[in-house]
Amino acid sequence: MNLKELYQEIILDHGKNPRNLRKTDNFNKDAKGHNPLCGDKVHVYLKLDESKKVQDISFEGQGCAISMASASIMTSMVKGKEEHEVKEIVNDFLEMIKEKETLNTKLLSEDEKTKLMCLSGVKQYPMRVKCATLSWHTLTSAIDKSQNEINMESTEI
Amino acid sequence: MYGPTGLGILYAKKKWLEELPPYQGGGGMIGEVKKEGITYGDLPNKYEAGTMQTAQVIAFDESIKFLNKIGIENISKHENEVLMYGEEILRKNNSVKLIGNPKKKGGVLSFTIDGIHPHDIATILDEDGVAIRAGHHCCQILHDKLGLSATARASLGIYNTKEDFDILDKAINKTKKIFK
Repeated sequence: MNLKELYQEIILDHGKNPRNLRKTDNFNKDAKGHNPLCGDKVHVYLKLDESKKVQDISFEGQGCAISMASASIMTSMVKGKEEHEVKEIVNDFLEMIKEKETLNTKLLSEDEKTKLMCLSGVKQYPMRVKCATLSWHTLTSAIDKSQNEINMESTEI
Repeated sequence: MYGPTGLGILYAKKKWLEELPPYQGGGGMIGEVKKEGITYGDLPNKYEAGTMQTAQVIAFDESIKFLNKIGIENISKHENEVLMYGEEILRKNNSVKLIGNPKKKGGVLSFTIDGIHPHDIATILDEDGVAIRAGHHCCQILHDKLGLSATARASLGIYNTKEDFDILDKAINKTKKIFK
């Protein structure tokens, strides 16, 4: 195990100064996520235009450096993407955190993938995986509106 | 009680144990089972359905012997000494804010560090072999009242020494460095 892999500069930076930590004006989709075991909370707001492109995405919440950084990096990656593209990116990320070595999506640049891979350090810390995935599950929920609130106690990874 | 997990003791007045329904059905807890109804076995059988946790029961007995051998007063004295030392060490550390200051307290010290979430603190301390608990410690209402989402908590037992708090103190300073 290596702490430096978990708390890389980029995680610490996004954790301390999360991007898009606000509430989108006139959002048209949103969802809340909660991890009752640690108290992490996140609320994701989306504004999609007529062609279902993400015009704006933001989040509010509180949590550990990993969960804040993950939400922050996530919001910076999906802006401008179409709804189905967002889903592809989310699935790719969740699969990477779960088992895959790399990210496969062609929707992200190599730079962006490198950034996202910084979160892969949590794989060595099973307790912290849910910190990294909470905001991503919540984004899926906002798009699908399948659940009112994501509860990580009943969510698989 | 320094024994294995998976076993507890129900201590109650006989009157209530007789009146309360069993919480679980299984082998060994019945009196008679008829179409018309069921009666339960005598105490304590009524509450001991199924195969018992044999290993845990034997170990529980050993735990009690272990505690009695050292003596509750000695344990309490030792824990208090280490606790006082730990409190002093953590108070001296400027980055640490201790939560709660009752006159009489058990062997726990809850704290926060400005700008570092307790779960991050716990992960980093863990790397130095310091195991603490992070979260709301089954005490969400109090945390809400204190305006905290979570706290870090060091707890101690008979196996802890003053030196453990020196190690904790060092590990906290390392945590601060990572998050500087």
